[in-house]
Amino acid sequence: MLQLERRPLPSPLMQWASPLIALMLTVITGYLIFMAMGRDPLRSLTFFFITPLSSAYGWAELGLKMAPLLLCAAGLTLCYRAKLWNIGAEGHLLMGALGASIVAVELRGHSGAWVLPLVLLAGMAFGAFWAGLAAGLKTRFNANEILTTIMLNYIALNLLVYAVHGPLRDPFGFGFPQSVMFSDSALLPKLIAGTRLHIGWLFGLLAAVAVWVVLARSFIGFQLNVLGQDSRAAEFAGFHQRWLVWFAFLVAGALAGLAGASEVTGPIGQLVPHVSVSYGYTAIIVVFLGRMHPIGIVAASALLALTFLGGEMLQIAMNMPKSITQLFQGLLLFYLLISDAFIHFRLRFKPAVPAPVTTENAMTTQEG
Amino acid sequence: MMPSAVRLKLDSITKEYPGCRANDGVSLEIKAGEIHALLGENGAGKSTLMKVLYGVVQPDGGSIIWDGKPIQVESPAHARQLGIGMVFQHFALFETLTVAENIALGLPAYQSRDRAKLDATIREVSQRYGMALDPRRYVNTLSTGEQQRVEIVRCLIQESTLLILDEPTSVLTPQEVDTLFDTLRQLAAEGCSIVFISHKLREVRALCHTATVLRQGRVTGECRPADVSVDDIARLMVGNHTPLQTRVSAAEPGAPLMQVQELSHRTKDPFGTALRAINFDLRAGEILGIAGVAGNGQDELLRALSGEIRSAAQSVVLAGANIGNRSPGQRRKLGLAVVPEERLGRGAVPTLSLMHNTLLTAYHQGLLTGPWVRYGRVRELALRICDAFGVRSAGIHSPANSLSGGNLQKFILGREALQKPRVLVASHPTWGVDVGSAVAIHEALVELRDQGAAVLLISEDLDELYQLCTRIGAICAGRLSPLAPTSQVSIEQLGQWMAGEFESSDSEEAGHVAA
Amino acid sequence: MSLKHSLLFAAALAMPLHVMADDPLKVGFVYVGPIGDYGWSYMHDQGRLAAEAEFGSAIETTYVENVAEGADAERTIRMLAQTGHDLIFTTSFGFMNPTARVAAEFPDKTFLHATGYQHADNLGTYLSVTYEGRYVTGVAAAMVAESGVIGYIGSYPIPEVIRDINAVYMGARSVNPDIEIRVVWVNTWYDPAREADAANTLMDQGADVIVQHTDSPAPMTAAERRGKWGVGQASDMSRFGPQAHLLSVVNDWAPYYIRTIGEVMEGTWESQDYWGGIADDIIQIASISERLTSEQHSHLEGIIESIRTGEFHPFSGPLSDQTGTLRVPEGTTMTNGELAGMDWYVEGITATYPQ
Repeated sequence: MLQLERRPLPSPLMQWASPLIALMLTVITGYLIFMAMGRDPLRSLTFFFITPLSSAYGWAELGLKMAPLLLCAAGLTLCYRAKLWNIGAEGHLLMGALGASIVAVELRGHSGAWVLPLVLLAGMAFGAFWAGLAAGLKTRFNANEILTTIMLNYIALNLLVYAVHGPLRDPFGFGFPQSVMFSDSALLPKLIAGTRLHIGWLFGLLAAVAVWVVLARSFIGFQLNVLGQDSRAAEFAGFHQRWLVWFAFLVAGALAGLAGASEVTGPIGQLVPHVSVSYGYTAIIVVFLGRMHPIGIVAASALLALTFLGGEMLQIAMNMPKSITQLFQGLLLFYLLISDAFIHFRLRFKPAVPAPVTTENAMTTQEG
Repeated sequence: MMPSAVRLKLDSITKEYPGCRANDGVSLEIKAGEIHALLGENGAGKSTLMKVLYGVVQPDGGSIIWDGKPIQVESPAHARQLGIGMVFQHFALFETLTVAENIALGLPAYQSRDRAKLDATIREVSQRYGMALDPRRYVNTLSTGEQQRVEIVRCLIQESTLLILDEPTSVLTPQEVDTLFDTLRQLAAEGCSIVFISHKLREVRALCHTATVLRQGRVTGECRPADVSVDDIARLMVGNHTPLQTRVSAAEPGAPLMQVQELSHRTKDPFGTALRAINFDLRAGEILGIAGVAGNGQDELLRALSGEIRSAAQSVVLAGANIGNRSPGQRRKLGLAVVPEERLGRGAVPTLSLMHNTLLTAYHQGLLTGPWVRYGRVRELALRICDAFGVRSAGIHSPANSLSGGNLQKFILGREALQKPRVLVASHPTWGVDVGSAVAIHEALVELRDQGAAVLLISEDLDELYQLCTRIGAICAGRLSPLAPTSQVSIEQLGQWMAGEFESSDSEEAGHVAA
Repeated sequence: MSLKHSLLFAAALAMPLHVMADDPLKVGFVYVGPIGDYGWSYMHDQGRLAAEAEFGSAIETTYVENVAEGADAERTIRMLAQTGHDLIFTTSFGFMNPTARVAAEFPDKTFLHATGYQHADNLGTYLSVTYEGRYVTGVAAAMVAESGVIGYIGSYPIPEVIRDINAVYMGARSVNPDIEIRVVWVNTWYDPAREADAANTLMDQGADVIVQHTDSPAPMTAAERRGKWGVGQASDMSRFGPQAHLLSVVNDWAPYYIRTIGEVMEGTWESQDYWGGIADDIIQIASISERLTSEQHSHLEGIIESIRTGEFHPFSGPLSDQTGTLRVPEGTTMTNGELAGMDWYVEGITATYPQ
């Protein structure tokens, strides 16, 4: 009889092996699914995992897709370490896109190196403001941040849709919901010429490193950890929980806002209704897949970005449905949760004890 | 007097948990009508053995012989069926139900169906054994002692012939302990066997006919407690290399360091205790002891002093500063250190390393530069704590929850003591701690006192309070009794204070009672 | 072998300008929704299948569905161009700028963008004149709306939708001068749950007919459940509401796709702004309800015929806006350019213009 048994200490090996095992199981399951669909599994997997990365352009696209995920995930990592369940990265991102667009449209025609930083700062400020609303509701009224951030996501989306249909709409755009194209001074410089990869990707990496330093070296990072592990100890030690909440939310908001600003000033070049393809929500998966660790989220954001590219590739090359992307993401999460159980538990083989049949035993069962 | 029929025989019981052999070939014999003490430090294997007997876990080896027949106890329900009853240290009662309803829950249907009959049975049983109980009362209105009676009556109604009591006296006042002992003696006289788990050796000597001592999962000795000295039993429990007691020199109290004035607190928790107009002075160089039965406001008092509960500014004065409304961090800066009752989950973060747990409260001790942590210094301090207080662990990187209770408590106390506090508030610092660690903790408290710090010791362990404290008092229902020099307070007097029998504590002089 | 194939594919990606002679013409389609939406994307895909049937092995088609109108669209379009697709149709307004950017990068490939306004030598636009069908919808709706209220589920307040709301209203007014039109905006093209919610809200407000400018059959199903009328969008939705179905305004892209692919194969294609309506069979009125009387049927047929011949244009003057200002004088008809930017409601519509 196999039994799950709690380990005396969580296994540090499994902590890191678990995502790899999950990835392996996902690939194996993917192989079986492709086979069941009557497709060549090896070829399908190659298209999914390898072909998107077979050219410099492919790598650049991976970086492009990674950037907003990584920026959102970096901020969320701070929140989640403190068990502040901020689901609002999507809203912060949209508000960041909106803020950056307002400034970019306003400064259209200005050239100069000061334009872009101002645009990006506006994005960060809007994102931070939006996160600050949730932080304020939590610290002032003790409102559950999961609910407030989700609701604020919808409000942010509607504000953006309103802006793009109204005040920010391109007056010469035949009434279509989009802003004017930003001038070059408000666009992010390309990282690699001939690709779409812009310096927003570097922002993402920098954010991950910064979060790492904060968590590993700063006192506020330590306090966030304590708050997440044991809020009673944080209270006992006299940490200012409200300040911690504000800090985590404002940083998460500013980083997600920067992600939104980087999307509109990067690959899109204008404000449109569909700035985000659920980057803020996917970033939640990234954080958990990345073990709430800054290095982990870099790897996880790359992996999830690859599932998007791979899904598109399978669609184009083999006419497979787009849901393959979600299927792989779902499998990955599913197997991760299963493998995670082995961080705290292990399998042990136990010989089954033959239950002696006695009259007492029968009576016991009756009584129970 | 001692009947001879063997009711229960355990033969070579072995139970292994991952990384630890909790019971290693334990054998013992209990006769009908015998009160048998099971002695041992925390982690000696007492609880595991009783869980085996009560059917909570299955042994890996050995056999249980009940009334002469080998049996296998499948489950607690099966155990009750056999006539084995257990009173846990933490009661398994529903606070919002009545006494009778709680008792009915554990009974087979045929016994619980007729409520009127059940009420009558409860009254009859409780009166016969001198444990007055009203079956209609709600459990949350009962005192801790009364709640324990509910558990015992429940076992008796189930016609238990073996009653297991796990540390039953830790929640009782001395008077309640006496009542309980009378009840147990009467039960034994009627033929009921009793297993009495404890580490309070005086009580064991007063009550028990025989004793089995466990250490590290093995039986290290059997004796008739009445025939041997307390020190002899203690030796069996802790081995030969551990000192058994701290030698406490006389204190030389100085000027008051902390004043508590009209400290009140109304709790939001329906089962919490309010603090009512508490007044006392805490002097440099003294240990002030506060006794009390659990749940009478000790936790609230500690929180109000530590800053986890805020009150009026002038209700707590530390070295001349009004701090009643300050945060815990600000109070620490002024020289307050606190050892809370819960080690894991308040005093230390279970999943974080000892190094990180050092930083938890010692961050004012030059461990920060601006926003950054100087982890080199944190490491040094953590090593110094472990070294000075003999904390045994796999190193300062091991998580707090990997340490034994005693070692973790030494670590927490060390962390607070090394901050050179002016005032240290400690709650139950040796609760569930092995004798060796308890001695070390007591020595540390006395050393702090001798260095001129003021120590407030909140404890349920009267031996500890009498041994260490310069002055002593008790808290009951959120009110503080008079405080008096320990030598002038008899145990009977203290028992009355713990039961709430005192006038208002406005004047300390009023409490001076001749011993 | 399979691995080799994908590596070749990869090589093709790395060499964007790689072209092979004698190969079939590769045609790519980019859809905003799922092909199973039974609406907009579904009908484009039906057009693709019709073209495949027409040209057989002379063409090879690829489609990509559910492409978000953000940064991802450009990658998808470029990927199609890089993998040897010579002709690429992008079928949603939000793909305009990405299409234009990729078109500029691949001057020897042909791009066609539906509903947009950007043009280049290798980038044309095409549009179905849905307002013709909407006008007929309005006439039929007024015939059955006993409450005198028509409900309209708007996707986004863009000129196409504004135009169509005006057309429905004017058609309805021609039957019942007191008709009222209520609009609910859902800000999506495809979200069955929100569309159904909107339909229910409109019916709660007294609408007897639900006209949808979104792509899922959910509003039709909702109308069927509550015994009201529904109007199908883009495809024939009669099977989703056997009782409720009033008529469907069908977008049949097959004639356009077949013609355009032919032109590109022969090298005669030129960039243009194509508007196709009832006269080109791009817009068809399908499955008019048998619950209408034969007089009503022939009245509708008459209107359809007069639009087909060009005798009648829904947007001919005089037309005033909600403030009463004359926008289109008597004797004139709005030009395609004016219609493309239409941002006002005609006089008589009580709903507030969305800002």
